[in-house]
Amino acid sequence: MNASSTLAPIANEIKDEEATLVREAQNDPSAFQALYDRWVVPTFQYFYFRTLDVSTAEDLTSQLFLAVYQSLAHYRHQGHFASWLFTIARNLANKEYRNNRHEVSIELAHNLVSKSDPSDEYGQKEEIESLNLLIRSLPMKEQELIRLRYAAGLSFSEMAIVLHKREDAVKKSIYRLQSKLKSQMEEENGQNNG
Amino acid sequence: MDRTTVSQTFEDKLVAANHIDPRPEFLSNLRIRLVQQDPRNPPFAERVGMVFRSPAWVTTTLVVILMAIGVIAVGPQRVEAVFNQLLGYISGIGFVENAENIRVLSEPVGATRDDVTLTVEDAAIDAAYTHINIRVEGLDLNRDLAKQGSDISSGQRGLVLPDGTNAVLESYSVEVDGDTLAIKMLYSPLPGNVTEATLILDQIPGVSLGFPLENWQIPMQFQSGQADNRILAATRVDLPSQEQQGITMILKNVAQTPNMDIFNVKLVTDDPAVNVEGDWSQSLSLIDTNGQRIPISGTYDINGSSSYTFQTQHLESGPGYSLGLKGAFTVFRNASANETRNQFIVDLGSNPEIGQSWVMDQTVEAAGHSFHLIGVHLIAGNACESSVDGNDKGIMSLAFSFDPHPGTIDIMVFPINETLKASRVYLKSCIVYPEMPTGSAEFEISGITEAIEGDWQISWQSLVEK
Repeated sequence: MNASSTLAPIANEIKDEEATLVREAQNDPSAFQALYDRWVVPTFQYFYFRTLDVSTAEDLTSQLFLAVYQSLAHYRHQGHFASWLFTIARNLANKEYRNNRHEVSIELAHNLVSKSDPSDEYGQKEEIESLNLLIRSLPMKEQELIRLRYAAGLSFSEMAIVLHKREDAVKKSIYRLQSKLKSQMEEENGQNNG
Repeated sequence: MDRTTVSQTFEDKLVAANHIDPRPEFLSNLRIRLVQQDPRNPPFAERVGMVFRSPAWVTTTLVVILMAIGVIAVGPQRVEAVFNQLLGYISGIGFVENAENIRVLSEPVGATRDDVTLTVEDAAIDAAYTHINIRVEGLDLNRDLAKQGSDISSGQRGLVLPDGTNAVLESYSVEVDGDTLAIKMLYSPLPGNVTEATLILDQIPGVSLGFPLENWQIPMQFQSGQADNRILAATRVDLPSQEQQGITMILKNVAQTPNMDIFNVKLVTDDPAVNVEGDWSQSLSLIDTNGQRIPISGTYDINGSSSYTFQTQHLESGPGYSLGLKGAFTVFRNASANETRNQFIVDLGSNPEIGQSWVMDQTVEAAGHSFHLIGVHLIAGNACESSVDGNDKGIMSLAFSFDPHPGTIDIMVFPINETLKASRVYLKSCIVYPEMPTGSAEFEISGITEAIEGDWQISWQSLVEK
């Protein structure tokens, strides 16, 4: 099974729905809740894995939705609401970083597992913890790719718009990162088992 | 490496590694905050501006809902009451005027209906207000909480005195605290001889329109505050910062205990056209002379976001402290009324149609700025606010588009006359009409919301004489 099939079809379905949701929210602010429900968790996840701080992530998520709520009337939907949303989100996160200079340490990344605790669902707590550490050890640009893809759940085309890159270039970068991380994981597992 | 060599399982692991569930309280609070900050639902400052110019049906709603999470709690320590002070502080109520004559709720009172319990936990009458704190438990927040905004009818909601007269509702706030609502209501002060009153709520503030449990009546008894040992002595210090952008930060009041200090800080302006309304407390910091940051926590006063009360650890006199506000927040700037430069005319013609737009190219001067009006749009239904009286049928909205203006966040448009029979004006470049508007109509920009940025500092060594 091609791994891209896990996210892309979902993203496409959402994209179709989103045109309607955005139009409804522009005509009737109460309809904004549907957009909020759809995107609040991905945006929170994005901010959290960007800052590794729950209160900062909550603050940035609040700022994002209040800003989007206020400016939605001026947004012209061209099929890329998520790209618009995460362009604003990245600006907010960049501004927060400039103001507070969050240094995300490897040690802090250890805490991720206890917060997300996927062990119940996946039974792979240690493996996920190792993967988290590997992700945090990546260059910032590569971490951002991982966040936009897996924390925010963006499609390749949406990521391309956010990152001002070609879609195929984004796709290749993600594939390369997946392979790199997988190899490192296997290498790490081999060392641990050996 | 070929794409297909990366397994589905590994991509699942990447998703799992980037997964975290937000706190449910955070999601609920943000949802409510969005509802309450409806982009076309005028906040407090704008409504204040409306009082002087708006039709009677608009002025009935002079209410503020502020979402401020975090409640000041003095805690278990008790300080001997001091009644020779004009200023006092009561945990949960805030700073109170004329503490020597204050009246407080004799005991908590409430009622339970269909598993929903509404309790008046605390209340106090001082020289400025009647403060009432309510807790509501038993609600299903996802089902019952405001989804359509809170449309307030002050005529049906009141604090009724024994002689049948009503205290005036000044403002109220709703906080979501887990699965309960914490509501603070602020009424006008009751006459000095009044010791009982009945709180009548046509609807629980903050719940969805149509929530079934209506018409709550809670009788309350008050007693002299001299029997209440929660009133702390407080001092008015009025320590100002340098003025910046027309705004001065003032450290107004302080109450000190052996364990903690409580401060009240305000943003004030000499310009009566300007009201602070943005969230600035996040940019507030308290540091000592060593540059060490001292944690603070607090909440905005419910009658406006220009006043913030916070608590800290007890600050010893002598070392020196500095309260700083550095950052940006929003203010509402009223435009001068009845000035032709604020005004513009739109000719909708004799037979306008829903969906029709009128291209405009007009410069309108307001609040010291020039705004470029580029279009007017006729939209079906109520495009101005999420909550609607009755139903949408037969109503329509007129929305105004302006070119972006640096620093300006919102431009408020108001009809000058009622020749078009507007049914509602939301002061967000949007007006609702009960029937198709036609012909020529005159409008004005009544005010704008704009961003203010600065760095205000107040330093001191000792605030209270020993």
